[in-house]
Amino acid sequence: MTKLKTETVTLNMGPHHPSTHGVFRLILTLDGETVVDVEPVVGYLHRNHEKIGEKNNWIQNTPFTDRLDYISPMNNEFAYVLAVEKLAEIDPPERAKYIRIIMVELNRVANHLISIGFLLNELGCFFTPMFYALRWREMIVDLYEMTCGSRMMPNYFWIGGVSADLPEGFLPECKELVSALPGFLDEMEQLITENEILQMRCKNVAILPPEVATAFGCTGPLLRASGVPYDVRRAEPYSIYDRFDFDIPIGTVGDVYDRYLVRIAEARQSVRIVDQALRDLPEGETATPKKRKFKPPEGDIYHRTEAPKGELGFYLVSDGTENPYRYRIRAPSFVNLQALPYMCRGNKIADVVVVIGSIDITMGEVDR
Amino acid sequence: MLGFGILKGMAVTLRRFVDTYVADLRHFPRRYASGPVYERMGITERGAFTIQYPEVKVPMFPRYRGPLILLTDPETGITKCIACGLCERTCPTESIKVTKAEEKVEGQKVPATYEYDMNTCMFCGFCVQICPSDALGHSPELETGTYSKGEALMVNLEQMLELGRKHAPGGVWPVEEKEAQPS
Ligand code: SF4
Ligand code: SF4
Repeated sequence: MTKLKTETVTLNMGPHHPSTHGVFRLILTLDGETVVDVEPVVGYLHRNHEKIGEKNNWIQNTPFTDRLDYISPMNNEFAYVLAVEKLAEIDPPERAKYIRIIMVELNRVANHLISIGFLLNELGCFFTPMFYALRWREMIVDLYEMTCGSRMMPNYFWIGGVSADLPEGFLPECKELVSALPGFLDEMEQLITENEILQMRCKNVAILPPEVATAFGCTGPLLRASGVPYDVRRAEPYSIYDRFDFDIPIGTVGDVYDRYLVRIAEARQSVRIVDQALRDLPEGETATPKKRKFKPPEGDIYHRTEAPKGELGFYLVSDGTENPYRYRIRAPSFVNLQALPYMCRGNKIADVVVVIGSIDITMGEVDR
Repeated sequence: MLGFGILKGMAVTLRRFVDTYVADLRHFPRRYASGPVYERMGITERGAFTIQYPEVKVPMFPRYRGPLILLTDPETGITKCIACGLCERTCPTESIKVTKAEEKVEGQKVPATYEYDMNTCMFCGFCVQICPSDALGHSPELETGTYSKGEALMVNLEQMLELGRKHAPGGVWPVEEKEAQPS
């Protein structure tokens, strides 16, 4: 028998694929079931975010940053507001700083829950773990709605503080939630961590060695799962993170399973931070008075924060007027996505969705 | 042992499954009856349940940011809006158009027209925070769907005042005081 002649097939995946968390297209080159090459095509969700940011004045930009990574809106606002505060040298009141930390860390828990839920979805465990995760995310977004009136687009932080003090009933509910969250994370782990199917699908899949991860500029859980203990909260403490005691969980292998474990461990650390922040929460003012316009001094600034998905940075240029001259975002999802072709090569086509799920991307942030 | 992890996971689902029925029995027959069942799902609430929307509706939090309403002072009966136009200028999406009336009513400036375009509004709440006379509020309305966009979502002065009288008869939004006052 003569050897069969084989050739590669080009397959289009997306843009409307349920596992791509938005509109995102992949051009796959396949040899049988094995992926030879992946070419991500982004831009379907482009909304002209950065240009709108230049049209708006400094204050008007906060609600737009909510729309970047809509799973973790508080983190986006936090990064923007901190950047402007650094540029204009504004120091928010102590209480506002603590409230911000509480909100941001609760958001990190919610984000990691969602990302784990979606990872399991993509593995075929359709929506059972997702609903366990969503039930607890619901408690967190309820706290947001109670505080600022919106679940996903809070617009809560403003330059120089937060828009309103915590409402009555927030603190007892938040304390109850914080004491219940570790128990829930245990339950989640009991539900899936030791599951053999999950382990077979995730272990040793899409290994990202630390030097490759750093070369691609990956940050966040993706980088830490590869064993690099880099966290902006620790490497370059911003706001009041230097006052809290928390660990940076890292992985050992750098595969999909490690990313899952790192996310669970990070959620636990976030709960610890919220617990400490609630304990130390001082009384007092929450905001400097709001103005409709404000003019920071001339200059430029880059401020980076640790968003749940990685390093989120804002580069702002001010020419001394009431609008930013340049408003640029370093979005963690976009940078982390660059490692996708590397991780997919040589794997089976069924693993591609799992790898996307393990990176944890939000297309709102990738395309801006 | 292969399969032990799966069994462990299934134990969790089984426990939740039983929980649901136990909690149902404990609240029998109230849990699925019409009328407010639970305001929100509590942290200690066990088992799964469904709020029977649209028969049962969950009340919104006082600070919930819905479509805008214009508040009326219940004592004088005229709107609290002084037609200063700050909301128009602070809106990032240019959803508000206000014009000032020629004549004052009881010594207070009042708006002649007020056009609120819900097509473009993103419920950010800046206009409410900036208003110097606290004349704006958010309605707790959830079901704002219409069959067409455009005109159907344009709200004029009369409608906004009507909504304000309906949702905030006391002329104050929200029930608690504002934290930071505009400067
Ligand atoms: S800011 Fe308030 S008072 Fe001024 S025009 Fe708008 S609603 Fe009226
Ligand atoms: S809520 Fe925001 S977008 Fe809507 S009218 Fe007010 S300022 Fe404009």
